Amino acid sequence: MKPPDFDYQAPDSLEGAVGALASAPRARVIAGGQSLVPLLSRRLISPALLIDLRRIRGLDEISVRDDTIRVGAMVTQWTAEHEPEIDIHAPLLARALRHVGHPHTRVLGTIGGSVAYADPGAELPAILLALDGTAHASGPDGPRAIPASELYLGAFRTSLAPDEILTSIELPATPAPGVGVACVEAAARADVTLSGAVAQVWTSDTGTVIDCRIGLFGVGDRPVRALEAERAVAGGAEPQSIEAIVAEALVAEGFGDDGYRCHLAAVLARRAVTAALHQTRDQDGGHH
Amino acid sequence: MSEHRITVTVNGVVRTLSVPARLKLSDFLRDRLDLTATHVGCEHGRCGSCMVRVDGEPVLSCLRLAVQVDGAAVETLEGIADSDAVVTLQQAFHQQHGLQCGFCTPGVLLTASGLLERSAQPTREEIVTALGGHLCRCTGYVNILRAVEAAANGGNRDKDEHAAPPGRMLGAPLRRREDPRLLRGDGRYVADIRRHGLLHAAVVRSTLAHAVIRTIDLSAARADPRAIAVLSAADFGEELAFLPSNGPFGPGPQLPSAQPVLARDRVRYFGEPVAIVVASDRYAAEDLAALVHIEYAPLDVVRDTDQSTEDGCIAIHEDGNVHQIFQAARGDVEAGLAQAPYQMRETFTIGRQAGGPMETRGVVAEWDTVAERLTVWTSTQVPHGVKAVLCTTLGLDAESVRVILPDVGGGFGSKLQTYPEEVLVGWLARELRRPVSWIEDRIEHLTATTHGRDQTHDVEVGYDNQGNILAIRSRLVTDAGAYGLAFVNTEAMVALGAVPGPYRIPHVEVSSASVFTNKTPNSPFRGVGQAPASFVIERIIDIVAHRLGLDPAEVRLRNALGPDELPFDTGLGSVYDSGDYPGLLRQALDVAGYQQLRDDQRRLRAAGRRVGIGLALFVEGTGHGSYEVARVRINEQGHAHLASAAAPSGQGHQTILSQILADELHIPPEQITVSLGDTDEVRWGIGTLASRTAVQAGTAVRLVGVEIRERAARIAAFLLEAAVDDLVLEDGVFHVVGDISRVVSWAEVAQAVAPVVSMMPAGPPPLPEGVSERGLEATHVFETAGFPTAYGAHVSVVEVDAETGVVTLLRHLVVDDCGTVINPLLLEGQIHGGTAFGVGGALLEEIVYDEKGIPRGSTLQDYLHPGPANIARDTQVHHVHEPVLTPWNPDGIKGVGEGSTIGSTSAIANAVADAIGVEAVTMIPLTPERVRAHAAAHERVEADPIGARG
Repeated sequence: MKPPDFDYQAPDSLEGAVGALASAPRARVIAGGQSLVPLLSRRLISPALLIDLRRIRGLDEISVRDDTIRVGAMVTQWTAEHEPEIDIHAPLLARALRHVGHPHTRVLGTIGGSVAYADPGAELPAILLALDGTAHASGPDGPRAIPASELYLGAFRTSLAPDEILTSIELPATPAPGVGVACVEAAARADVTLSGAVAQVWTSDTGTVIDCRIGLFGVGDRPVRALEAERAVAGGAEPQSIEAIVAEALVAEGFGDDGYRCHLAAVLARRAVTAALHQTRDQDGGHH
Repeated sequence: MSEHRITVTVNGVVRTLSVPARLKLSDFLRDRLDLTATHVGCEHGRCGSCMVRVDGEPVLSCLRLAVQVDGAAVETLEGIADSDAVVTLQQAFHQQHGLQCGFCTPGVLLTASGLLERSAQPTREEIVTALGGHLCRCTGYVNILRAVEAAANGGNRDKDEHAAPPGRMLGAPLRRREDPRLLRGDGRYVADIRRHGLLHAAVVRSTLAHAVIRTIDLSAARADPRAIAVLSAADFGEELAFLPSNGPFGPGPQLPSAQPVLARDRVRYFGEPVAIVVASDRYAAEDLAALVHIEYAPLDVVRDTDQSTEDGCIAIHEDGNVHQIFQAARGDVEAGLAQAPYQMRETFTIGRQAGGPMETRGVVAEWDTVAERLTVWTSTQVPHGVKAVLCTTLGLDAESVRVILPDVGGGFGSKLQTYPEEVLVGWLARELRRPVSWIEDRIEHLTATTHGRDQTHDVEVGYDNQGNILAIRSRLVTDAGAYGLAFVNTEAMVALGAVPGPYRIPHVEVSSASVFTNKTPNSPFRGVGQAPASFVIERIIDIVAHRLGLDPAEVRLRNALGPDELPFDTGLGSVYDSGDYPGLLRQALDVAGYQQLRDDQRRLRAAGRRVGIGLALFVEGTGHGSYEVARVRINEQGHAHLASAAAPSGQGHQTILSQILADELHIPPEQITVSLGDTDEVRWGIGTLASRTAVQAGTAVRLVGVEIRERAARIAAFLLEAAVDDLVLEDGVFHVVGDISRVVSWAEVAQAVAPVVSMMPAGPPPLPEGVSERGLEATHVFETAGFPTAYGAHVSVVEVDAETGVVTLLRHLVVDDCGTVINPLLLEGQIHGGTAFGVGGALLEEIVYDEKGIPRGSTLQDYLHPGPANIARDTQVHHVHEPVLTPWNPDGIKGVGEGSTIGSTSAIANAVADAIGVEAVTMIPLTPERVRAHAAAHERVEADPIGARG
C-alpha cells in the first residue's frame, strides 16, 4: 500500500498555499495526515501536488473575542483537548476530543482536518453543526465564511471549493456556568464508532433549561442536527421523551433506511442530553 | 517524481538525505536507514506496530511522509532502548510474558514508555486508553497490561529467570530466551531481510469475483523503464501452473478445482493473483501493477453456498460446486430422534473470519548461482511443505532448495498453506538471478490470504426431560471459497467429528459438505472445525436447559462423558483418549463461584442490568499429524544443538523445546542452541499447526534426548569402568550411584567419541561396546499412534447494553487440562491469546461480501480484531487440579494452542444469549446490531408474550 507519485510543497504562507492549490489541477492540502495518508496509501486519491500546511504561520491560533471562540484549522486535536481556553469557552469540543481517534492520532490530527474531511462518523462536524458554528476558508477570491448548516453536503463532501483552504472554525463562546456538555458513542471496538451524539445544554441558575443543542453522527452521510429534540428539551421536555422525537425526525429526513443506526442515534441523543443535564447539576452542587 | 532534501535527526544522529515526496516515514526508517525495529502491520494507522516518536510525541510512522519530518527529531526503539522507562518495561515484559511473536512489541514499548514518562502511576483505564490503538493477535493483551502495570509499579524486582535445575525443568515457568532480542527490536521478520540487489514484487489481483479473462495487456507496464519483470500465467510453463490441491503437502492429484499460481482463463475470487511485476522497490512495483490492463467478461457471481447448490447455478469448476461431502454416524439417529420425548430444530451460522496475524505474509528468495541452490525465507508455518511445493513446481531436487524460517509474526493457520506468491518469487529469483522479495500488505492479507469458518449447521435434536441429549442429526455446509487448496476442507472435516463435543449423545449423524463459492479460499485457522461445532453444541445445551427450566451447568454435567467412559471412540473419526470432563467443569464452577454469580445476576437483573453468564465445556483434538522430527548433537564443550521442524510464530518453541531437552539431558538451556524451521537442519518435518508442537515436536525432542542420554551413559560407563546400570545422571554429570568422587561431564563424553587430530594413523578407536559411531548425535522421528484430546471449561460473564447491543466482558475464567504442563507461563499466554480469538469470533470479526462478491471493506477498520478494551477485565486461567496424562506420548502432553478459542467463543456467545434472551442466539459474530435486534425481539416478547408468539 504505497502512495502514488506526487509533487510536494510546504509553503510558509497562506497565500502561497492558496496559490499552489489554484495552480495545479489535482492539488490537495494535507494537514495532520491521519485521514489523508491512508487514502494515499490505498491509492483512493492521486493528487498531482500535495500542499502541506504545517509551516504556515497563523493557522494554529486560538482566540476569544466578544462571544465567539476561533480555533485555527491547524490547531492539533491534542492541543485543543488540553487548552484551558477551549475547556472554558468550547467545553463540548474539549469533551468530544477525548473520543476522536486515539491519543497518538491527536498529536498530529488537526481541528481543521477533521472538520474538512467530513467523515459522517466524526464528532467535530456534528459539533460545528449543533453549535451553529462557522467555517472560515480562504481562496483565490479571498476569505469566506461558511455557516455550518451549509458546509456538509454528503459523505466526505463539503461546500469548500477545490481551491479553498479551511483556515479556522468559529464557535459561539459558551457562557458558563450553567452549561453541561456530553459526547456519547456506541462502538464495538473503541476506535470504530457506529453512531454518536453530542449535546450541550444551557440552564438558568434555577436549573431551567434555556437552550439545548444536539448533534448526531454516524447515522447518515453527514452530521445531523436534532432540531425538534432541541426544541423539546428547551421547552422543558424530559430527556426520556426525546428518543422518540429524534427517531421520528431521522425517518422523516430520509435516514430511515438503516433502522439500527437511527435507533442508536436516538438512544445516544437521549443519553447525551441526560449526561449534559447531569453535568449542569453537578456544577451547581446538585440543585435542580 | 518529486525529490526533496530533508535533514532529520534520527536517534540522535543528524541525517541529510534526498527522498521522494511519497516515501513514508516508516519506509524511510526501515529501508533508507535500516532501522527495522519499527514494524509495518497495516499501513493505514490502525494497528500501532509502526509507532515512533517525532519531537518527543508518539506518531504512527505509516501515517507520516518522510518529507514531513524535515527539521524534526525522530526516535525509534533502537534509539530509546537505553532509557529508564524502556529498560524497565523490557524487564517487566520479559517477566510477565508480555510478548509472543514480538511484532507489535516495539510499537507497544514506544507508547507505553511515553505513558510512563508522563504519568508515574497510570490507572489500568489509562493504560488501556493509551494502548487502545495497538492491536496484538498473540497475547490477548492480559500480560501486556500486566507488564505495563508492573513497570509502572517500580519495575520488576523479580529478575529471576525462574530457573529450575536442569533435570527438573518440566513445569517450570522459565522466561523466554526469545525475548531479549525481540524486546530490543532485533527480530528479523521476512520484511527485515536484506540481500544485496534485492528486488521487490507486487501482485496484480482480480477486481471481480467471477469473470472470464479476455485479455491481459502487459505492454504499458513492460514499457516502463523501471520494469524488471512483468509476467502473467502465459509466461510460465505447465509445471508452475497450479498449487497442490487437497493433499497435505507437496503436489496432490491435480483436481479440477486446484488454484492456479496465476489466473489463466478465469478469475474466481476478488483478489485472486493475475499478474506479477518486479521493480527495484515496492513503490515502483505498485506503479507498474497499476499499468497492467486486464479486460474481463463478468460471469454470474456465486455469493453463498445456498446459491451454489441450486439447480442451474453456474459451475465454478468443471466438476461442479460441491467439493466434498463427508459423513459419519454413531448409533441410530432416526430411532433416537423418533423416540426422544422432545425435539428441536435450529440453524446455526458461524461467520467468515480471517486469521489476522499482525505480520502479514511475505517471502524472499535468492538463487545462489555458484551452489545452484534456491534459498527462501518465508513467513510460514510449514517450511518443509513450502520446500516440497517449490521442488515440484520449479523442478528442483530436494538438495537444491532450502527454506529458512525467519521470525514469524503470528500464523494462526493463515500461513499453513503454500501460496502462489511463494512459488512465483522462487521462480523469479532463479530466473532473474537476483534476490526477490514480496511483502503482503494488509488489504491483500484480508482478501487474498485464506479465510476460515463460514459454516452453517442445520440440526435436529432429540432430548428428554432431564436434559439428556439423545440424538443429533446435523447437516453442515462450509463455504470453501473459490479453490481446492490443500487444506480447504479442514473446517468441514473437523467440524464433522466435533459435533457432539464431550457429551455422551448416543445417536449422532453428520453430513458435512464443502461447497465452492466466489470468495477467498477457506483454510484452517485457530480452532478449525472445533470452534464452530462447539458453538453449536454449547448453544444446544443452553437452549435445551432453558426450555426445561434446568441449570445449564447441570445439563452439561449430565451429558458429559465421565472419566470411566474414556477412552471413548466417538464413532465419528476420533478417540477421546483420557480426561475427567465433569470433574473439570465442577472445578471451573467452583472457582468461578457459580452459585454466587447466579445470585448476583438475579440481583443485577432486578436492577435492570443485563448480565449474562455463559459456560462452555469442550474437547480439543490436538497433536495432529503423522510425525515430527528432532535432531540433537552434543559438541565437545558439552553443549547441545537442537534442531526441529517446528515453525514458531510466537509460541516460544525455542524455550519449550530446549526446556524439554534440558530436562532430559541435564544440560542448562543456556548451553543449548536451537534451530527451528530450517529445512537444511532437519530433513523432514510437518511444521506448526493443529496444536501439535508441544505434543509432537516436544515428544520427538524427549525421545531423541533419551537416545542421546542412553548412548552417553554407555560411553560414561566405559570411561568410569563401571556398569551402565550403576550409573546415574545428576546435576549435569554421570557418576556411579553413591560415588561422586569420579564424575564424567557431557564434555568428556563428547570428547571421548570425537576423532583426534594427529598426523599418525589412528588405529581402532577406543569406543565402548555398543557405541560404533563417532560423535554424539541422533535424529528421532516421532510417529504418533494417536492424538491426545485436551479439554477445558470456560465461564464468561458479560453485560449487554440492550439499547445499543454493545457487549462488555466483565469476567472470563478458563480451567484447562492439557496433561503435563511444560511451561505454565507460556501455557497461560497461549490461553489468553486463544481467548481473545474467541472474543473476536463471538462478537466482532466477520468478513462480509456484497452481492457482487466484493468484500465490504478490507482494512482493519472494517475487520475488527479485538483491542485491549475488548477483553474481559478480569481474566483468569487455572489448571486442573490433577491433569490427566495422555497415553500417546511419554510425558503425557496434550496440545493447547487452539483450545481456548474453542471454549471462549462458545462461552461468550452463551453469556450474551443468557443476558438477552437465550434462545434467539444462533449466529456469530454477535455484532451490536444483531444483539440489539435480539434484545428488541425479546422486549417485544416480554411486553406481549402471547402476541409475540402469534
